[in-house]
Amino acid sequence: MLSTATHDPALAAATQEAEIDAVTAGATFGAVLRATPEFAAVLETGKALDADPVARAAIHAHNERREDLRVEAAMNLMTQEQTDEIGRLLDEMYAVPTVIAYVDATAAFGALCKETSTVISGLIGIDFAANSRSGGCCGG
Amino acid sequence: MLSTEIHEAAVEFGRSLRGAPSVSAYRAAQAALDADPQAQALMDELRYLQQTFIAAQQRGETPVPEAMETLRMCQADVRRNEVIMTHLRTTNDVKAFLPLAAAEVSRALGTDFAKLIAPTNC
Repeated sequence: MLSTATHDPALAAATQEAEIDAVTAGATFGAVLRATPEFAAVLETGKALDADPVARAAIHAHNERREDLRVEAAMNLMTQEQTDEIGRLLDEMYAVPTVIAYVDATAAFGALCKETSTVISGLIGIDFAANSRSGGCCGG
Repeated sequence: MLSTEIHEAAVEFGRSLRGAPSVSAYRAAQAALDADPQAQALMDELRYLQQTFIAAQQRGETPVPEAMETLRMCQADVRRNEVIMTHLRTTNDVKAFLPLAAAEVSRALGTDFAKLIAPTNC
């Protein structure tokens, strides 16, 4: 969505161009983030995770059981035994070195992105992170 | 701590966004609101009346007609206040624009940038 045209065609063109410039600046910024060592670590640890059968099995076991108990969890009807089981599967998943490495890499890149968002917010005078999705921070 | 390169890239992107008409219009409208204590007081009054109205409904109470009339009059005053209405309109515009810019970041990055930076209470 770009600004609607004004009565002055030259101003309308300049307005539209400024908006296009701002949007395409996002592509430049995204490329810079993609080139960071932090992002490279996410890709590398992600590949290692995908290639690790122990990790895949642990993730699958946890995700499958969590899906089995999705309704109970949503309705707050999980038994203590079920809660403990999910906790155990989660611990087993997070004990796998390739999982730990991927989680750490993702967290580090996420933290970097959040820091950049703070810089951007300071310049534009509105919370960029909270307003980066249509419908607000939870999307829509 | 961001590296100089990343910090400068973020600043560059932020400056580009600041040059976008919807962002500069929002900033101007915010500055106008900040400089207008009467408009701020009117907004505070509206928020208070709305919250009181909602709280009464949540308690199962029917708001008295006088309270409803006070709320309606306040809403009419807000609609007549150009500073407040401009702020609301520009806020809507900038909130429609920022996801477009974030989507471009996501496209170049290859992953959902907005999701990465989303507040943790979201």
